[in-house]
Amino acid sequence: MAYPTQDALYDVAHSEVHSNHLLTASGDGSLRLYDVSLTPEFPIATFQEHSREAFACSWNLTSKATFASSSWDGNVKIWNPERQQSLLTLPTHSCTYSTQWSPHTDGMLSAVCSDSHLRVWDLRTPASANNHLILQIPIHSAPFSVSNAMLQPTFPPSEALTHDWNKYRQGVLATAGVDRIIRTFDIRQPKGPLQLLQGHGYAVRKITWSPHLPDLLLSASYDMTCRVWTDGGGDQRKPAAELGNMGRHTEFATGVDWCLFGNEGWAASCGWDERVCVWDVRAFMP
Amino acid sequence: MADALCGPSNALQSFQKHSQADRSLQQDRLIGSSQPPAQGFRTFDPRVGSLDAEFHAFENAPTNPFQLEQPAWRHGAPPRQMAPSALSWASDFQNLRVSESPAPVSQFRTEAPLVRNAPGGWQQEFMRQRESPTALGKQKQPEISSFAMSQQSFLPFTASASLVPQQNGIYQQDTMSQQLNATKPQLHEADFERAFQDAFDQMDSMDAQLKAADEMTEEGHDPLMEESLIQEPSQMKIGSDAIEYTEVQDRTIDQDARDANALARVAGELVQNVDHETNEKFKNSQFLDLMRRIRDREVEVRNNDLENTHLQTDATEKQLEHSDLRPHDPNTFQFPDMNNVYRPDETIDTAADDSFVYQPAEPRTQISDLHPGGPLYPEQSPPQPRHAQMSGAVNTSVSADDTILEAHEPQGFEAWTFPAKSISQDLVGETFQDADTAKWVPWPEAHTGMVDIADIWNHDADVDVDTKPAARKRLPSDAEAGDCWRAAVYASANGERTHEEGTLKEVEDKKKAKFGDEEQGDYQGHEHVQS
Repeated sequence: MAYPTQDALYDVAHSEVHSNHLLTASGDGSLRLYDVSLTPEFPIATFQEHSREAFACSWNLTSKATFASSSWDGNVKIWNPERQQSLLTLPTHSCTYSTQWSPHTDGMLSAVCSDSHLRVWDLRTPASANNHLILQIPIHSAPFSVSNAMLQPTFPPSEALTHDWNKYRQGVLATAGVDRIIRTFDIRQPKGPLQLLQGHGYAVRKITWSPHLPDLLLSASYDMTCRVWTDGGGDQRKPAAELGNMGRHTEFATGVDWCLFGNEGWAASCGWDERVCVWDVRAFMP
Repeated sequence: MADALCGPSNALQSFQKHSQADRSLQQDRLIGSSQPPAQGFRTFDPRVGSLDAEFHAFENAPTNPFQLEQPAWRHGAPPRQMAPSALSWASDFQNLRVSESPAPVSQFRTEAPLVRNAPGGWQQEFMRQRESPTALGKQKQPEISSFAMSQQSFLPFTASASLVPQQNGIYQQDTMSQQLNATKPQLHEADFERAFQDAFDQMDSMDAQLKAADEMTEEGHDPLMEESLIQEPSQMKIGSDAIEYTEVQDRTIDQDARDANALARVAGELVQNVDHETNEKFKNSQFLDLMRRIRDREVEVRNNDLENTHLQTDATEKQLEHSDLRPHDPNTFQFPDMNNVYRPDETIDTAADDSFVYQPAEPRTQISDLHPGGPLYPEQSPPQPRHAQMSGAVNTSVSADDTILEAHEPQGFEAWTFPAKSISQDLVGETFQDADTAKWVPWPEAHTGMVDIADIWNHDADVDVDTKPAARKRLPSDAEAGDCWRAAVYASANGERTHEEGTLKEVEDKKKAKFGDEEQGDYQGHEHVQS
């Protein structure tokens, strides 16, 4: 089944309340909800408030009644599929490439922006002056280090393109972007990143934590590879390391995700070579 | 919480909210480290001590951060009077020895808390701050927000970015130590006096700001929270934020051209950036190939799509080969090779054929058909009837043929020549049904009944007008009809007869029968004369 659209689509999310519903984020700033059981090629609902490209959409994983979207216009918006207007607008004042709901805490969501900041909102807090914003971490800040003797590198700010919440360790996030480094953060220790995972040759477009293991991470990058990483599982003594490298894509790899229902370790990735690769992560781990 | 309650809010209320916030997760770490840092497993964390201090400062803080230190400082009381255990940074200050040599580079960092712990770190930090007054200016905002002992690094990223070249994970210590070495001889007490004075002035101004902020609080805002959390990174925009957005409706043609240039430039940069890449995938990437073509302007974006431009790159390259690109020396003069100046031979024709650019046909008008040579040829339109009347020369006894000749033949008619074969050239490649054999034959061989007007004009061809309508399966265009007509006109005007022995009148009648009456209106002049 195909649904032609006028504009590029940047993200897609499955509805958590209806098995046939699918949400897309479009280049014209609109969000469209499709019902895949229906034949007509029109969306069943269109949500148009963003004034520029909508880059990400994410369904609330805990309360399931809402979804969030982020856009180049510098806003994150919370929506209910049954309402035409957004429920809430959370300004970031910066092009926001990625927004994600926390899988652990209801009403908690995060976003990473072009201004090199990770923002976390808690919708349970009162909407006073700070507009639910509870955390704003500079992604480029010096890493949280265990060793006193080591020199601390400083990084220039760079655009963050993607982030994801760890599915097992509450409060742990990973971010990545133009500076090619994947960083893990603990929002309880917002001083700086816990781990820096370096290896990609160009900007990292998408990262996703494993649904099966607490320390495993997949990334897709403009260096045309997808890589598997471990961040040590939160244990400072265990090293963060690259575990595998999938280089089958012949153009930029821009999306990757794990298989939730198949075998543990299956993954799918897509790229500008107009292909979707379905692969077993374990086959690429030496 | 307080916010959920009704009623007006005030500064105290908002501060209460601030201090009562649930920080248990953060505090459990802090409480654990309040013991001497030598014990416990967290001793390896260099931040523990500093966090302790921050926490104490936070706990003991009155309404704003600067009142904490200002009373002692401003009223001249030496900082020594403060309890040594109260604040770790204060004791650092006591230990400060101005003339002390800088601590080893590895012992301090740009992170504020760590700097406070390192002996001599504060001093250097301060010197560096003084080094860059612009950074000091930018510093103001984050300093206000440091009330919540937020996790700001002492140097905001804007300042650090100005020191560190983009995209290099350079260790800032390098630049710092260089700076320190450079400024070391200038350490003077007077300098410090001045520095402190500056700092106090700055604090005063911030005091005023905070007072204004307090007034804001009356209106229900919480500026401290706001500023500590929603710290605007507006000083520097990177990446997508730096791209200006233009509404589609507001676009101009000029802007399109500029965008096309910008796209070509960006594509060129991109190609250059991956030029060092040895990976086969990058060499074979279709996207990068496209970028190369955009850079070379072989492909452009038009109407939301990529289109090949009709740039004849081969031709331009050839031109470049032949043209002499050496700078001209004004002291030498070379006579041009006269053979190259003008060489009217067939090579030019072929060159002209190569550079032929197809131009879509303009809608043809009667007038343009009457002026086949264009504006370079004199007026040939049929005479207006009043022209003849005005001259008084209308003589009905004069034969129609003569009148036509008179009216049509402009001055100097003999001197002209019609461009040779211009019309028949147009027909090359078309096939016609031969009038005699009824076979389809290419143009020059076909006996179609059409006659080349050039032949008539140049007086060097047999005039052979075959007007059999059946001979022409193809519908004649206006131009062809005109040619035919004119051929007939001039043939009879010259006293020659068509092989059908048709007079002008007959020919015209036949023409009318053949092509309809469309042209009749234009030639009323003739009829007038004939009648």
